[in-house]
Amino acid sequence: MSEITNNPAVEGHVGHDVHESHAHHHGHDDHGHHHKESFITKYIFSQDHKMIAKQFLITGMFMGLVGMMLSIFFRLQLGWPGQPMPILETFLGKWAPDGVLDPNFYLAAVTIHGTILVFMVLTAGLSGTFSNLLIPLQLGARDMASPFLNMLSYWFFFLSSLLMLMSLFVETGPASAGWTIYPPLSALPEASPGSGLGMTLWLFSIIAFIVSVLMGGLNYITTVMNLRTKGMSMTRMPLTVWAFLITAILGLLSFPVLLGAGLLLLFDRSMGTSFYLSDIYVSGQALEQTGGSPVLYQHLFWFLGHPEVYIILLPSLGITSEVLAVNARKPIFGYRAMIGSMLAIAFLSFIVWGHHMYVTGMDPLLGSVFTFTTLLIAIPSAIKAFNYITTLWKGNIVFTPGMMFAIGVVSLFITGGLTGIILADSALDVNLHHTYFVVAHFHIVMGVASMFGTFAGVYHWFPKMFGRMLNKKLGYIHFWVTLISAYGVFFPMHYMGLAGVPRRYYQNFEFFSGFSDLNAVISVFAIIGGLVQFVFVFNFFYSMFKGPKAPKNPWNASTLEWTTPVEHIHGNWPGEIPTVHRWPYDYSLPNGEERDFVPQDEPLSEKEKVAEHAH
Amino acid sequence: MLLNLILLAVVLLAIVTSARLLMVFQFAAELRGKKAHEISDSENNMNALLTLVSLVGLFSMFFYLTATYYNEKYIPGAASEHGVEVDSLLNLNFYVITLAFFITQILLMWFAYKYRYNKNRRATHYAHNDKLEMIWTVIPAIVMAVLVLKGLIVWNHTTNPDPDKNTLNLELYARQFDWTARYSGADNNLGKASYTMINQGNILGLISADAISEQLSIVRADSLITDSTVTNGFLPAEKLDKEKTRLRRLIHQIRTVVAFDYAFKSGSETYAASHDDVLVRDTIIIPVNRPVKLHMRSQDVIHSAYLPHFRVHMYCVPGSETYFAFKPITTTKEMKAKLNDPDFEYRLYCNNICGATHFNMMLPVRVVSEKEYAAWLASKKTFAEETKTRLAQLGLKTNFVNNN
Repeated sequence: MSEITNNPAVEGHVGHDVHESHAHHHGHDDHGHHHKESFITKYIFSQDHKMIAKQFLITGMFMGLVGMMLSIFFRLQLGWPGQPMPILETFLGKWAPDGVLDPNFYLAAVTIHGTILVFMVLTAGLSGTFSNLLIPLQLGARDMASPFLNMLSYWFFFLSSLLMLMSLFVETGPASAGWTIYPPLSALPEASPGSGLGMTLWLFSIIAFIVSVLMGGLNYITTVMNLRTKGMSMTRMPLTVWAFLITAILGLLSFPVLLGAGLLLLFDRSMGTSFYLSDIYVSGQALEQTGGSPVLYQHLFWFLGHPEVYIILLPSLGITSEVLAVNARKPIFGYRAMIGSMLAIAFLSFIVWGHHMYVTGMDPLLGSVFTFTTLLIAIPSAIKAFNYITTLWKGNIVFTPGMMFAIGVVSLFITGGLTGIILADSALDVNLHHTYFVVAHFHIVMGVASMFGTFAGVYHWFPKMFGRMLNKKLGYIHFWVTLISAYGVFFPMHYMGLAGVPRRYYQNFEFFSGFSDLNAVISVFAIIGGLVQFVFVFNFFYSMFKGPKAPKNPWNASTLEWTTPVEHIHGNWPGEIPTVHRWPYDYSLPNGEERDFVPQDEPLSEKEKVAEHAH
Repeated sequence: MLLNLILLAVVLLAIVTSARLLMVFQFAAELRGKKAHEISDSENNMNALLTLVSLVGLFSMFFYLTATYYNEKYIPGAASEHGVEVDSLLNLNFYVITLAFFITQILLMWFAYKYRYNKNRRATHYAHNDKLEMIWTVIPAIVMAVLVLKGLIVWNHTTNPDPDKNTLNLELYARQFDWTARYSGADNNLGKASYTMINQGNILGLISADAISEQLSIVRADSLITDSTVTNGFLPAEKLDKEKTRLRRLIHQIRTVVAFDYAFKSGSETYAASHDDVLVRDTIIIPVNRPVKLHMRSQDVIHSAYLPHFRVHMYCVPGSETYFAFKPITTTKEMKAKLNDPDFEYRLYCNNICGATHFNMMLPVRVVSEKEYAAWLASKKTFAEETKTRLAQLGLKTNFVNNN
């Protein structure tokens, strides 16, 4: 592999390796053309970060559709419990005899929906896509630090997705212990049919996934640390890159703990160890395992699980910062405070995991500590929310579909974040733990908000990815219907939760003073929200091939990715990579120019130089 | 099958038609000189207006749902002492977050509307303001400090109730997929239990001299049969493996039961506390205004004892015991009158995913006067009496002498 130099100040070593020739001499202006790429090296085993980003995105979209369909299946059951729905039998066959969802498969659907959305869509689909696409492009790098590792990262993700899909076709059914797979339920096939082969596949899938996340994360961090172009200091990086960097660090520190938890579970399942098992009597037999603790698993799981929430949310917030600034034609308000609050959130996310465990029998004193640390997160979150709002203030807001989704992120981030204040409080969480209140909270703040961030990113950077524009009318329809149905699905759930309706119940809602009607309404919103996603998918694939050609910088943005040519080339920039002279948010400077943005690679004007010296 | 094929054809046709239509629109737009990446004034205005409409919509939904569901009928007030405190804390939190919700959503959507694109205007380059940022760091910090403090006070009251000699010890025992309540009887002391003591009659695995004799006879018989299956049976490999595992587990089980037997016979344990325990599997009955300490155990997987009306919730973890103490303050009768619902029952739900029929794992809970409670409990058979009956069926001698 050739040595990679991205710093134009250093004389670049000309690589001999055909596949790795991003490190070119400045003089070369035929990047990516002098060697032939076959279909396989270009589209399948590609090492180009832009292609890998697209692979992550499309795989993530496909998994997203699977996860969404599963949620519609169980919403049909929840909205109209026990009523035959022929469509269920069409899709699920023996899991929905006569169109009624089997209770075991209901739990499996809930489990796999959660797993796919949390890991395959909002971790890999979001970080994988945009970290890959934007880190090199926005930093002025020719590619990732290790393109080969990057390629492997995608293929491990692909393997992981494949294993997860395979588990849907297992005779005893897929994993069905909830996406958190708490043992002993997940450890004992006797206790639940889904804890047989389905669970084994789930575990292998997640192990492959962790490998993918770690290889991706190492790459993102190394690239940000080492491959920034000349002039791109850390405080000139767009907030997107900051978000991806912090996300990668979180992933690198927390995912290995999940790997450990998963391995111990595998040992308990197949080797007779008792890390998580103790004093269990199941299917007429007393197991020999004693001394383990299922609560240990929960500690390990949530040590990943809580940072994972921010692994999902931060990239989305980073994208929001960027899209809001570009389309409000204003700098993001409080750039340094935004970085500071992201760092604070990231740090705090490692010392709050116990708030998922207030009612596990954990020492109440520990509960107090976790309440305190968790509520601290409200402060940096509030800073972020107010800074977003102030960014809009006195802006000149262009309502691109991406911008709509970004505004949506802020609205959802606030709505969902505020209920977190209640759940963080151990005294209040007791009665709301595992109710629909929690479902409403995390779906809004982490699920839908991050999904909106992903959409904002796709609409905003589609022209960069495919050189064509998405249809905006379809984009508006997609946004408004999704927003309405998202609030329509999750807002009423708060009230069900307050009344004590437990999540993951298959039926029996009549015990809770007639929430059956509300449940049906929620399901209707869910179905509408699900259907409108197909409008997006259609728009995506149509525009990929037939959309109108995109100009080089469609949104008049100042970041570096828009200085690359529309046609993708391996190495990103023909000729020299740009040098950065300013921060990424020079929008609407009061400089008397008609143009309301100044690209990052544009040297300071004489006036600006004078101002700089004056500082 | 045919219907599905037709459906598939319709979907495909719809996709192709939409694609064609989109191409026509796109072509028409190009002819009119419209650029796909430029947002027209009408599009900006329309979306800005819709943003305002959605603000109204969001608040309308909030008011409608709150008016309809946030009331006694759907969310009855707490029926326990600490629950009342929890409710008032919850209300305080709701005032705070509702206020924040309104302020921020209004600002967000109003700014989005007000500062919609106008080609004659230039945005204000406004990158930061330390004072403003300080304000929205400090104010949330102060509010959070108050909420944390208030929360911790309630949490302390909830988890460390004042000691009361009168506290009723009550066990909630969970297994797939039902609950058993165990009353501690006259001695208010729950007898020891072990999972190796579980059999069809003794589902909680309580230990008493009789229970030990019963279990030894059952497990020994079981192990003999399994042993002969393993040695003499012609089983397929997979089944043989299962039987071998079973035998190993039985041997482990016998060892522990023999240890209990030895402890009893050597006099180091009397295992008498379980004698007067009472097991109930249909309705849990508790006296009003008397603290109850729930002891929770599980037989197989993690379950969770959730009593929403009392604001009580605790996992039942196999291998360890968890606790939650509370004091019911409203009888079922009073609650029926208050809610004007003659069928009202408090309920115990399982609220941790535990397998296929998790949703069915529930038990009614009735709060009654102390007198009714005492009369009801006296009518129940004790564990010792139940075990004695079963022993007689097995043809074994009892160690238990009824003092009553």
